[in-house]
This record gives sequence, structure tokens and C-alpha cells, in this order.
Amino acid sequence: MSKSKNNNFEMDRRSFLKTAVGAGVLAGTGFAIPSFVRAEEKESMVEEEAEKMVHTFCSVCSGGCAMKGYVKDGRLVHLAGNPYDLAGGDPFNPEEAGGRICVKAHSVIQTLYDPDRLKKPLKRTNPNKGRNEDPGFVEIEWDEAIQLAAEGLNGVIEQYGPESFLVLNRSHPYTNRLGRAIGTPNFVCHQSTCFTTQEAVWNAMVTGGGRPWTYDMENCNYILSFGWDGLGKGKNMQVRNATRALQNGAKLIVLDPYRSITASKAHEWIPIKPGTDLAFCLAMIHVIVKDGLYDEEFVNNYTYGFEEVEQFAEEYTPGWASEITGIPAEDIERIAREFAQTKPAHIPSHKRDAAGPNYANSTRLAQAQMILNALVGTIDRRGGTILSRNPSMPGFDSVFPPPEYPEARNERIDAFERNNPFLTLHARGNFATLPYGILNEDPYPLKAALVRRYNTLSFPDAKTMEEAFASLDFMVCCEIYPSEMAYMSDIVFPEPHWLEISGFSARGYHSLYPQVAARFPVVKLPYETRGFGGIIMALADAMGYGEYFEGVDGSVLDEKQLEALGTSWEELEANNGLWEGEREFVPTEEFNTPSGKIELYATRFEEEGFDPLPYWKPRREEPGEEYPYHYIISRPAMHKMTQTQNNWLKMELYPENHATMHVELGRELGIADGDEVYVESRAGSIKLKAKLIEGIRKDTIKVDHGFGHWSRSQTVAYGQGANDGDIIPHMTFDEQLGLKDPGVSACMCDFGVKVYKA
Amino acid sequence: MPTVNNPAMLVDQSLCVGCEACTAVCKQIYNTSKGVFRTKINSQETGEFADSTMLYNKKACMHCREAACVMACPTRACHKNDQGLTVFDHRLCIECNYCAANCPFGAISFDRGRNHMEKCSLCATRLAEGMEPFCSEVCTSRIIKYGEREDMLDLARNRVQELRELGHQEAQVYGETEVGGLRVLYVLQDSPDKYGLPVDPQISLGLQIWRSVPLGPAVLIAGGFILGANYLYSKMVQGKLEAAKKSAGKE
Repeated sequence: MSKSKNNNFEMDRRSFLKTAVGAGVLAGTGFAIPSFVRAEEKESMVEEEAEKMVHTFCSVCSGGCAMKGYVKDGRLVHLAGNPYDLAGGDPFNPEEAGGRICVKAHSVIQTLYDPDRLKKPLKRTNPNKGRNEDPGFVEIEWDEAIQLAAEGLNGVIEQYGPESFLVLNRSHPYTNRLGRAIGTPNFVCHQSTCFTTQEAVWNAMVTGGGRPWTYDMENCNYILSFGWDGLGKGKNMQVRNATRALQNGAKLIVLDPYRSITASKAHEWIPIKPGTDLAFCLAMIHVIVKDGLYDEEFVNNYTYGFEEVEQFAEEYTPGWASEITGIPAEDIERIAREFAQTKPAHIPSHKRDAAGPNYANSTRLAQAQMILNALVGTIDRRGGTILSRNPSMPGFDSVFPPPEYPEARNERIDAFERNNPFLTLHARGNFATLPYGILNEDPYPLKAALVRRYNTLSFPDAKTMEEAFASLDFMVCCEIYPSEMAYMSDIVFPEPHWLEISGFSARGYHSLYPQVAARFPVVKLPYETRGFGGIIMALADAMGYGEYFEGVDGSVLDEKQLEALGTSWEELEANNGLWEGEREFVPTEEFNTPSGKIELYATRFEEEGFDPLPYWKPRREEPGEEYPYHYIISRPAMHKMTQTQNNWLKMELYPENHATMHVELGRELGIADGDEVYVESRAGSIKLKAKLIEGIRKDTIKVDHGFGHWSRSQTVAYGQGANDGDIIPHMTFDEQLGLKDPGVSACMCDFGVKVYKA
Repeated sequence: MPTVNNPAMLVDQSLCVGCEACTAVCKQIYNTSKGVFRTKINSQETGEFADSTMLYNKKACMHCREAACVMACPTRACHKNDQGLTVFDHRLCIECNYCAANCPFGAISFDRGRNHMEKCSLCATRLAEGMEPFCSEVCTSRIIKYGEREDMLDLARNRVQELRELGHQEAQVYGETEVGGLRVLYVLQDSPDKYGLPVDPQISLGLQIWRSVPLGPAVLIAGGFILGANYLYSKMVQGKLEAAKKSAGKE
């Protein structure tokens, strides 16, 4: 087509305006305007069209990517990455910084504007609690809500004692203080379902504290993944680093029963038998040690216990591991050699991969992976996992020292204190044993709970946990939307969305160079919400614990922390919402362990009565006659756990989960793609659609986490898919302690399932 | 970024992880109805068990040089802009759907909720202002690139070479010559049919004949006649209404 023909029909903005005005005039005289008239794609110029841009950082996951929020006509229309954020860029090349955010962050706008959000405090009118009970919520004023919550909680505490009160949230200084003021030992968090297996190992072998979350994949030449699916979770820092590594020619090997997205991009995908990764790693140690392929300089200077490892690994030959894993001995030996001889090489491990709390031997797997990474010298070195370098800021308790707390009982309702000292008591907990403790009143009755944000769907054996919640006399929940946890509660306090508040964070995932990101309120919705700190202080006051919060002021804490950094709100705002420390990477020479070295032989484990070396131990429950298949769990990139299924945009991208199985298994069982099936374990069964694929072992069923919402007030999420957690068995105290596991694995996949057509 | 003369987008499908960050942002910006996308990741499994893989491709308008949609459009609502991108002028569109029916890539959809045709414009308004399309700006794996077509072709050829060295024998550049050359180029690690792409996209013979007959002006005249009639009819009704009002006022 010729250009001149075209030009007849082209219009610039001015002539369009003329036309539009003309059309308006015509409309006034009764001339109909076609409904499709609109400014051509003016909406795409958000940066120019926006009335303001506000700096914030993401809190969908703990990553905390710095972002810019564009507001138009009072509405947040677009979130973009902050180009000055070092986290999303090359950590060793600050010039090539970040500036991107993931699909979870982009689509959080639809959560902010979710019409189902909580807008006012709610009071329950139906005393019956459970999956099929409508709570009969009525909206009440804040003063009344605080009063009712205080009376309800105090009533229980008076009758059953302070230990009958449970704080159920990610550790927070305000609830820690309120709980300790009351005198309860019960601060239960979720991490035994998430990463305690890895954390305990980092604690004992390297850091004497927590675990790092930053991986320098970009500078790695050989990435060996045991279920690590960094590319499949969509997170900017991991996707970018790993794809850049692939572009640079790095080799990627993935061992995973399911062909994850990372496996799809790998040079080699090995569908290993679930729960046997430890055997593979032990044989790798055997080959590397026996043939002297390890990094001598690193091992000699920075590790402790190499001789013990040499002796220990002798029996774990590739032939032995081959029988357990089903992988040919030659392949195990080859990969061990490649891993040791391609520099730098690394085994990244992030939360729920094979070394997450999935099996009874997962902590040992994390131990074995740490030994392997140390043998090739990639702990806090280029191409490896990088230790935290966050700036230090004064904490809540040091700025506002608390009055003396009353004596509290030691025994907890999840028996977590009976495990070990490798996991912080106030910041960690065990979801797997909590239903047992509550329902059996072991060691005492627990009758009230203060919950923030956790969802009942997140628990192993979620249905039993619902029974446990229903058995409580009183429950208070702080949330932003009417979750299942809110549905179990007597009083619900609405919080603002994090896009509506201010704050700053050193950010867990990105700490190569110290950088702090600030957030300012991007928009404020006309809801009667209150910040969490304010809610807890008002509640403490009404409950009679006001003295513990005397003088406490969140803005004073902010000022003190900013002062420690040598900055201020004004400076943060002027400096692209960021504060930055020294851009210098000094590799750690001395580690926080008794020997000051990375302890391949973990003396601290030994002292506490655990195995100092990861001797082979099989998983707890092999699939058997009744439940013949392995069960594995994954998470789609668009969703964040159970928190995002009421977001219509995310749900359009990923609306439900499936029982994913191999096409041949489907054929054998008479199941076609899309058929409704039951997946059943000894804990229960779930009904969902089948998906038949090639990329999964023939003996394994995969279900994605986050679905199966039953709160009818979540109008988008309700009834979509099924909850993977409904069929994960919970544990008695004896079962959990019997595992003798310093990582307190909740054994999220350590059981068999069967599957049949519904 | 300076304005590009001969623009093209390059998508390295071999490194797409299917996260849909591009889809989400596009959907938010252009506010399309449920089920309607300007761009969407298409995933297709290929191979058996341990040798299988999931292929992802970013499905959107390819901005063909010889564009079937432009040829099919009776009102020239669907046209080529100064930069050679296929864009809609929604004021001229009569939603006849001929463009969608003739697109060899299935990249145009009718947005019933908003009553108009939707397809990727490559963020033409942004490009005209020297900015980048949203999808290339937000891609977390940095595999959507935008620039001069020749530069994009060079990058694509290099990447194909790398993929072949890695053993992907079928790796290829898609879009260099297809339908007169596309302004969206793909690096594929396998043959196009594995991605659900037409191996040899064609403009249908019927459409080519239709274009050779000057029906467009006839449609415009007919449209003008209908609008004129509508105007006269509204006038008539309004006159009667006013007369009725007047008489009612008098009583």
C-alpha cells in the first residue's frame, strides 16, 4: 500500500482534538458519537501523563525490589522498577543496575484496588466456626473493635493462664512485646514449612545466625540445581542473574522429579527420584574428595573438618547412590567432576527446593550441599551464595527498652523449644505440630490467638488446623482482605495495603552492597484501616499492658534508624528513594563458628546431639501399596503463596491448580487431561482437575500451592482449584522430635498419595 | 533513546521463562477486558519425558510488512503508521472483524466488553516519543529487545549460532522474510510449528483478490450515507420532540 493513501487517514493530536470537540458539539445537537472514539493509546504515556511518581519498594515477597509508582487521577496506574536499585542488576557491576520488577509486583495494583478488601473492623455474629459457616460479619467502629478484642483475649487469659494465648505471625517487635508482657511462650511462625532446614545448616556451619538469600548466578559457570527453580518463580533478581549466566555460556543442570521452568532451560534435566537427592550429593562428595578435585586453597584456609569428610564419604560410592536415586553411576560421577572442575560452580538453594523442609532428610541434604559448595569454594565468593551485608540499625527494644517481662512457661504449644538452638525461638515456629498441640491440649489448653496475615491454607493438614482454630474461644485477625483466617476470627482488624504506607527496609534478598529502600504512601484509599503497630498499641492499652508501650512511637524509631544510617526521610526522597553504603565487595575470611571457619564437620550440631556430618538417611515415608505415588508441590510465578488468588489479573494469568501427572500414568489410570480427580493421602483428599504432561516422573503427582480458597468473601479466589496442604499430614510432638532433625522439617512432601478419577 | 528509523522487536524465545510480566503490564496499561490480550505467553510442550521441554513464545502482533489485516480493513482503521507499524485508528473502525479473521498469527481479537478491536501496536505512541515498548522495558530475563531492525537481526543471528552450538539444530530466526519480513523477530530454539507458529505464513488468495477491487471507498460512501441519514433522522425526531414539548407547555 502506498504511503500517500495512508496519510489521508492520519491525524495528529491537534486535529484529533478538533475532531473530538467537533464530535462533542455535534452530540449536543443530537448527533450520535460512535462509542469507540477515544484518544489513541494516550494511556501508554504513563510517565508523562501521571500527576506524580512516588518511590516505594515491593513487599509481595521478602525481596523488596525498589519501585516507582505512577499515579494518575488519584489512582495508581503503573509500577516500574527503580533503575538505581542495585539488587536487580549485576551485583559485581553496579553500573549495570536494576530497574525491573516481577509479574507479582506489577500485578499488585489489582490487590490494592481489590473491591473485596476489608474496609472497616468486623465483628463475628455466628458463634459456629468452620469451612461451611458464614461468620455473619458486621462492620463496627474501631473503639468498639479494640474493646471487644481486649475483653475477649483477657477473658481467655484469666481463665486459662497467659500461655493459652497464641501470637501467630511473622515475628514483629510489637507483637513480641505484647506476647511477652502477657507472659506467653507461644510465638508461632511458619518457617518449618519454608526454609528452616537450610537455615539450621547455615547457622551451624557458617553464620551462627540466619541464612543469606543472595546468589551471584551471573558470575557462575556451572549451576547445579536440586529442585531450585529460580527461573520459574519469576523473581527479577533470580531470573535476570540466571538468564544472564546462560547467555554467558554457563552450564545449568537440574535434578527435579518435575520438569520445572528452570529444568526446561537447562542443558540437562535429570528426573531424580523424590527424596533421594542426598544420596546423589553424598556420592558427589565421595568423587570430589577421593580424586582430590576440590579447591585446595579454599578448603585449607576457610574450612574445618576436611579429614572427617574424607573418611565419612568413603562408603558413598556413585554405584551406591545409583541404586537409591535411579541415576546411572557414570552420570553421577561425570556431574561431580564437572562441578568440581568448572569454576566457579555452585548449588543454589532457595526455600522450598529439594533442601527445603520437604523430607526427613532435607536438613542433611542442605548440609551435603554446603559441603559441596565449600569444596569448590563458592560460599561468599563470586559465583556463589553471598552473605548478608546489611547495615546495622538500632532495633525496637534498644530504642524503647521494655519494662521487665513476667516469668513465662517454657513449653510451647508447637513444642518448638524442644528442638534445638539453631532457630530463633521468637521468630520461628512449627506449623506441622501446632494442630496437634492445640487439639490435644498438649501441654496445656490454648484458647486464644492473635493472628496477622497467615492463612489457614498455609498449614500442613489445613483441615485439622481449621478444627484447631474452631476450638479456640477467641481469635483476632489483622488482614487486608477477608481471608480464610479472617473467616475463623471473632474480630477482624483491617490494615492498609503496603502501597498506602511509608517505611524503609534493608531488604533480605539483596545485600551484596548495603542498600536501604524507602517507601512513601503512593495512594491512600478511603477505608478505615489502621497500621499494625497502632492496632497492637491500642490493643495492649485496652488489655492493661499499656506500660509496655509507654513512649513508643514508630516515627521516633524511624528517625533513630535513619540517623544510624546517616540519612533522613528528605534525603531518601531526594535520592531516588534509596540509601547506599560502600560499593565494595570484600569476601568473608572469618566465619561465625566455633573454629572461625566453615565447619564441614558441624561441631555445633554434634554438641546438641545431632549428626555433625550428613550420614545417609532415607525419607520418612516411601510411597507404598496403598499410596503408590510421590507428591510434590510447586508455585507458579504469578502468585505469592495463598495471598494473591483474589487478584483478578493474576487469576487471569493462572486461574487454578491441577493434579499434574505424566501422560502415561493418566492413560494407565483412565484419566484424561482436564478430568476431575481425587488426590488422596493418609491425611485426606483433594479434588481438582488433572493435567497430563510429558515433563514429570511417571510415579509422581505435582500440585501447585495457593489455591482452594473457601472464604466466600474472596469472590475471585473462592472455589478455584484445591489446597495442596489439605493432604499433608500434620505431626505429633513425638513424630517431629523422633526425626532428630536440627532443621525441624515439616516433611511437606514426605508421604505417598494415590490418585483416582472423581 | 533516539527515535528508531526502521524499528523491530527481537524476542529470544529460547530464554523466555513464561513469567507473564509483559502480559500483566500490557493488560494494565491498555486495560483490555477479561480474556483479551494484546500480548500473551503461549506455552507448548515438545518431546518425550526426560527429553521433553516447554517452549514459550510471546504471542502478539508481528507487524508484518505485507499486513493481511491492513489489506482486509475496509475503512483503513487498521493501517501502517510512519514507522511502518500496524496500528488502529479506532475512530474509523466498524468492528467488522475482517482483520482478525485474516491475521495469519491470530494476534487480533475483538474486545466485546469495550467494543473495539485489540492488538499490539508495539506501544506506537511511546515509540513515536522515543521511548521503549512496555514489554521490552519490563522483561525480567531481558530477552525482549527493541531497536533498528538490522541490529536486531544481527543479535538474533548470533544467538541462533550459539543455540546451534549447544545442539539445537533447528534453532532459527523467525520473521526475517516471512510475509515480507516482520517487525517482530523471534529467536526460536526449535522449528516454528513446535511453538504453534505458522511455518510459512500466507495472505489468503481471497483477501488478495478483495484488495484488488476498490471496495473501500464504496464502504465509506455507504457509511457516510448511514451517518447522514442518522443525522437527519435525529433532527426530525428532535424537531417533533420540541414541538410536542411546546404544545405540552402551552396546555
